[in-house]
Amino acid sequence: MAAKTGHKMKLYRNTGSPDSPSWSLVDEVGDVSIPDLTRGLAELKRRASDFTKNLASLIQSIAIEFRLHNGLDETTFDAIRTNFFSGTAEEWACLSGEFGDSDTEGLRLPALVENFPFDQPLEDVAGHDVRLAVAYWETGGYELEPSWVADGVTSSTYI
Amino acid sequence: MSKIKDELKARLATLNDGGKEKPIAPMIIRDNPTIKVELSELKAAIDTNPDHPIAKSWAKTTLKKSPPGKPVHVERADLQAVLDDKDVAVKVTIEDGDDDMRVKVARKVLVPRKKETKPAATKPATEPKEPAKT
Repeated sequence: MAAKTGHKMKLYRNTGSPDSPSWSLVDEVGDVSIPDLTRGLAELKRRASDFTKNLASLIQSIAIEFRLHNGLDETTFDAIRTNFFSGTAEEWACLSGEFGDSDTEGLRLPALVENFPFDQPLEDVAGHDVRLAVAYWETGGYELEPSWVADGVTSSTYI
Repeated sequence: MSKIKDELKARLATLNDGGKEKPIAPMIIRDNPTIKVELSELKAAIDTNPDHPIAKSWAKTTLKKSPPGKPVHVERADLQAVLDDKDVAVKVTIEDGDDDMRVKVARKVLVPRKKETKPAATKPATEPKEPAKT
């Protein structure tokens, strides 16, 4: 693993099914971030210690945020718009490199489109600050879980 | 089977020596490598076996939802299953992990295709006869 900038990292949308995925690259995007990868903590305060300590609780709602430029990649734009208005979930993967490469890792999750604003600044490229939030999604008799892709394989983390 | 037998023996030996058994990590690793294919290649694969369930799924989803001109990554086992007319089954094994944990690993394997059987023709329901009028 070596240091690299975000423009060499990859965002994918699963255009197949969860059982037989097909990952399409989404590259007409600006900054991409997973800002909310946080674990909930229960604070333990007691007379017996001068320190506040924490107990691990649930991993909080995970989200992927990115800037989608308007007017480029119509297929992805149409998919996000449709999913936003219909409340439909899709699988996304936010990775450090190309899917399947041995040193690639990142997050794969079923997601709903939470935010889809339409920014039209006078002197900047118009676009959408999209926010995808992890979805509750049952398909084929089981519940999809967020998972971590590492070394080309996917670890499903039950959270 | 002998691998499982050896692993069970090793676990028993650890416990008999007073050691602790390695816990199983609360995650499953889906070890399914991918292949990058052009949409035209995927369509050609689908056309070789259009009645295969995975081919049908791709025709309904991937071909319609993917940006034209961009390749997609599909799982190798899925593509192989379509080309060879096989079914895909998921085999889960428990293996030694990197740390002091064992991990569940799920891999797709190809199995002979179950032929879809047509439902047997049902007999038309017989209408109850009207009681004879007296």
